[in-house]
Amino acid sequence: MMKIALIGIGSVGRGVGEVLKNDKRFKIVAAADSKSGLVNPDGIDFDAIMAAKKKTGRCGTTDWTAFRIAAEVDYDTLVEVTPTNAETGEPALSTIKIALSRGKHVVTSNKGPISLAYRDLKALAKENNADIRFEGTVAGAVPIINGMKNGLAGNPVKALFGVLNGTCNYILSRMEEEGLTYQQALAEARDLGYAEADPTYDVNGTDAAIKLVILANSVLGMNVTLKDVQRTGIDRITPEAIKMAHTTGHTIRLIASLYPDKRDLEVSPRLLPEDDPLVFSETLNAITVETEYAGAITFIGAGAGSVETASAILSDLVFILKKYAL
Amino acid sequence: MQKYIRTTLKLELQDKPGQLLTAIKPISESGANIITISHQRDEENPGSDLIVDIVISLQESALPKLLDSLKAQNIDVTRIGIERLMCMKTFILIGHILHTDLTDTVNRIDKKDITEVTELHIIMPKLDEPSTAKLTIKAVNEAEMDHAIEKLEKIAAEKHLMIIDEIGGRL
Ligand SMILES: NC(=O)c1ccc[n+]([C@@H]2O[C@H](COP(=O)([O-])OP(=O)(O)OC[C@H]3O[C@@H](n4cnc5c(N)ncnc54)[C@H](OP(=O)(O)O)[C@@H]3O)[C@@H](O)[C@H]2O)c1
Repeated sequence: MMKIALIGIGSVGRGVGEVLKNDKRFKIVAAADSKSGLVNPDGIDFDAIMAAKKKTGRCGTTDWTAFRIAAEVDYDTLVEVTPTNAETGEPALSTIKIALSRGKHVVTSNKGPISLAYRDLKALAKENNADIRFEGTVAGAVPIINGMKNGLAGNPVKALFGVLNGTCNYILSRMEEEGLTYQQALAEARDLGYAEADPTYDVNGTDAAIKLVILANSVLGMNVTLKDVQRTGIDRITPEAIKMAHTTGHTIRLIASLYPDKRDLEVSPRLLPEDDPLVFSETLNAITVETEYAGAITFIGAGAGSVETASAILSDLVFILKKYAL
Repeated sequence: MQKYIRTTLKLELQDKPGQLLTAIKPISESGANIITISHQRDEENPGSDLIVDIVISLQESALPKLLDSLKAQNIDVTRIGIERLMCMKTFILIGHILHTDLTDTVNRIDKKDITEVTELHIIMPKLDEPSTAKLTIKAVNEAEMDHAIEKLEKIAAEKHLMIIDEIGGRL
């Protein structure tokens, strides 16, 4: 059985609790939110702590912090699902380093540490005979990292095109379907909870660029940072542009593109044929990988969501469980 | 890299069975892609020659040999039209396109018979609001197309225009 320390019990953390609740292979022995934490070697009653959190705003007591749990508790795998900090990766980066230094495995959906410090974390994990896995960081439930690393193993990748930001996809598809302006579609996305109060990182292409950096470094063996990604956002797109694209059977989507040989990484609105597999409405995510032998393969599915993202985390946990016979 | 051209051959065939096949054989043997075939019969003179227009795309270097082999089959080729601008890409521009001198933008990309802006369509919603334009560039080959795109990108940066380009989109 695998003992888990769960850092973060927001949307994704709750999904993890939900997915692991009835799975006898796993036991959550510690949990933390931003203000508190709790430890129980016999296994935490997840429903009970969520109920407590609802009442008091805390899941446990203030003497347990994420760092202390990472450093002191007896667990096999740390699941890190706190908010993304794109500039420093902190505090998640430190929590993860503490765990790896102790030879504990780490599974995360947090893009910050992986996009900023992939090589360091990988080296630290290796040094300590531990694994770090992060399927949930790119395209939520879509198994793009495992799919490329294992499913398409050995296939040289010629190019990769992805719809990696659900907010932008929602806005552009609503502009297309209803002729809305950018501002109108953004307001609608906010009302439906598809856009954050401050959507800057989504609409200016940064979020998609961070995911592209993760794919480039972890799957394609590149060594790039956010600065290497040329970025153009969607905020200047007019309804007329989408109408004009339609006259030749095209539409506009925010596309993350990558040509490994040319070291060419870009996130920008592009014209796509309306029947391209990367054209769909709503908040799905998709990636088309153009490979040498397999031709073009498209992965598509839920790019976010509580149990959807937890599904990616579960697959990483099962991988570790099997590899280390826990 | 091999240069492909698109060309129209007007063939005069005798109006008897098997003639079209005789003409197509050397064409496919030359490695050409047949894009369209259309033929018309001269209704006023039954029994006269059959005129067939065949649009093909092939490596430019293969064309002389193809013409020779058609001649060897006694097929008259009466016209060869060559479409030189084989690469095509569509772009959408957003910004103050008219204020920033549209003619200048087009002139700087146009290079006679090499790269041409073949289509331009503009919508201006309101005064002082950004307008949207769609333009199509054709070029003789991919290198010239890349060259034109570089120029377009430079112009866009100067004039604060946003460019949206196609993924792929080459003929
Ligand atoms: N939501 C998705 O669909 C999705 C999909 C893919 C990836 N991700 C990524 O997954 C991560 C989690 O996302 P989320 O949507 O679950 O975020 P969220 O709902 O905001 O939850 C974040 C959780 O982390 C806790 N937290 C914040 N700072 C902490 C600290 N210093 N120590 C311990 N806990 C701390 C928060 O505590 P409080 O409860 O006290 O606020 C909260 O429980 C993010 O990095 C996100 O980018 C999310």
